Amino acid sequence: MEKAEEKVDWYKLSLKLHRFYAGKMETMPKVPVRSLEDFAIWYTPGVAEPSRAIASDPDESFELTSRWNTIAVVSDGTRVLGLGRIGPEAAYPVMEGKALIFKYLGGVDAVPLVHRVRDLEGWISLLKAIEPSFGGINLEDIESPKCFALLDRAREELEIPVWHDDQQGTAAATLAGLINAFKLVGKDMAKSRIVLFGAGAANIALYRLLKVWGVPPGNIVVIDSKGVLHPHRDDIDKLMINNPWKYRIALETGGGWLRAGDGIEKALEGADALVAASRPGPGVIKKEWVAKMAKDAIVFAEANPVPEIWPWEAKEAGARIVATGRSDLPNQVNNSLVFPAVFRGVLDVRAKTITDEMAIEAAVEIARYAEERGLSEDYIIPKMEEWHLYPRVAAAVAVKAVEQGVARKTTTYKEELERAEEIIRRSREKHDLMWEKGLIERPPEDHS
Amino acid sequence: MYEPGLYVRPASEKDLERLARLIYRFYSFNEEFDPAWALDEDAEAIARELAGEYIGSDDLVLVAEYDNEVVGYIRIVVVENRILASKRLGVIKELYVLPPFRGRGIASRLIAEAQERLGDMGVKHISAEFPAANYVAERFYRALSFRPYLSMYLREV
Repeated sequence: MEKAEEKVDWYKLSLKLHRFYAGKMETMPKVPVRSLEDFAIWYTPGVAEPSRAIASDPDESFELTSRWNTIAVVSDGTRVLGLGRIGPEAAYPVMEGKALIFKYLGGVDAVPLVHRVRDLEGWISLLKAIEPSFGGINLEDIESPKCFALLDRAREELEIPVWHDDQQGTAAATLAGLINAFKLVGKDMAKSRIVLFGAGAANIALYRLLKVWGVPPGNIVVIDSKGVLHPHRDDIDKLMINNPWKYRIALETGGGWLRAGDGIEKALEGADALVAASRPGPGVIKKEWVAKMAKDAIVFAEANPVPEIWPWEAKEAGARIVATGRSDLPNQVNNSLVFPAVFRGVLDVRAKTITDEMAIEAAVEIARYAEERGLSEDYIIPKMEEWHLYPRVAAAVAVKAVEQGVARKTTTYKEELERAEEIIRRSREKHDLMWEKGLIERPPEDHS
Repeated sequence: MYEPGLYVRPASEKDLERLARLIYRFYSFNEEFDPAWALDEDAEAIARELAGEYIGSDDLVLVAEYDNEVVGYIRIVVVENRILASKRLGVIKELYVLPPFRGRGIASRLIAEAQERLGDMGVKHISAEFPAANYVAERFYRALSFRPYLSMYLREV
């Protein structure tokens, strides 16, 4: 077990460096200020003309301002990482970290926006109120089931893409891994039995993507803390009112091949794949259960910081492919592969939304990228360091947006690939140059 | 529009067991919405008695049979008020379809069949009662062109 333990005390180091830098992001000009006279261009009186242009055509705000490349990372701090309801101020460092990844990996300018609104209607008014400032919204760390209603409503009512990373990001990364895992074991995902353990944001979104992908609902079993989601479950009518998303899954899947009252152990008998997104392990998923799965079983144990079952335990029990959420283990299912690229793509074509088909397209492109590099049991999904992945995914998503008629601008795969590559490269180069020049301060003890 | 294999008919003695179960499930569900809907501890036994009383009463009690199995029911009481021009009003007091059979238009079909029978009886209006917090029921009835008609408020004595 020790082999996966961290050597560095990330918590201690992180607090120290957060105190030293006092924030991870700042705003920077992107236009020349050759003399103070230039302010007559960038500000009054000149700026009145772009304002007039936008007043007569609000879509011009995407062309004449930074709106096209700026998104908000919005959270109420009700479900932050594994920490729970720690409040908006405490959520800020997480949102700022997300903004850093958006910028470095996707060239996307992201603004952390934490707030005190808790109720759904208030949330919707807030998002609609800030919509004119942004080209997109990334929702983050919001409690379930509020997050489902929020995403559904926001997608309906806003004219810019709204993405909830804990749902769509995790689901798309998982789908990418599953596509390649099934390829490797030579099974057809649409004809396989798939068990989703945990019915929170990630797995409920994954269920939806699997359905759109073509897996019949009856081949999927979803299990929450009370057992399989099943139409004959005692609390099914209560679910209809309190968690209609789980309720619909129960009705659509019919409980898969199980009976009401069955649990995870029964569900895994003969199952081809397990995706656990539940609570930190180890020991949440037992070896004996994995041993009852079908031949060449696929096990994704995504809880952090400790997966529901350690990969070596799953393998000893007969699993052939294992993925986790950890960067120090093979096959990391990592949202960071998805969200910077998805937003790069949708921002570049001024998309109005991100459809499930676009999320699936991102997953397919990520899977294809890994496949081109040679799949193996320890490489079913690319790593964050493979930065050429991001423009590829951006291009795939952008083209899909155009195809589906949700983009304000048209593009081709090649054109977006080049554009995204250029934007992302420039973003990284700016950072690297500031680091080399000492404009990004050296930390007290250099850990670079 | 409707599922093949679906048959709606008045409840009869042979439905007793199944109807009792549906009545019990209907009331257990409502328990969710307000403490005033809390069930008696003998609710299951009482549901059986009610089923017996419903069958052969003046109430309009229809069951939905799907593949020879009773999967849902509706109970309508006709109330009279002779000062009103319409005189009589059909009130849906209970409506329940088992979860595995939802989303197939069975509840709508129960209402449609009931409405036809009410029409034959000269009843001009049909209304529905459900707990104020049941937004799913509210959406359902609105979708079937029902409109808000009567509010009922409650407090502890």
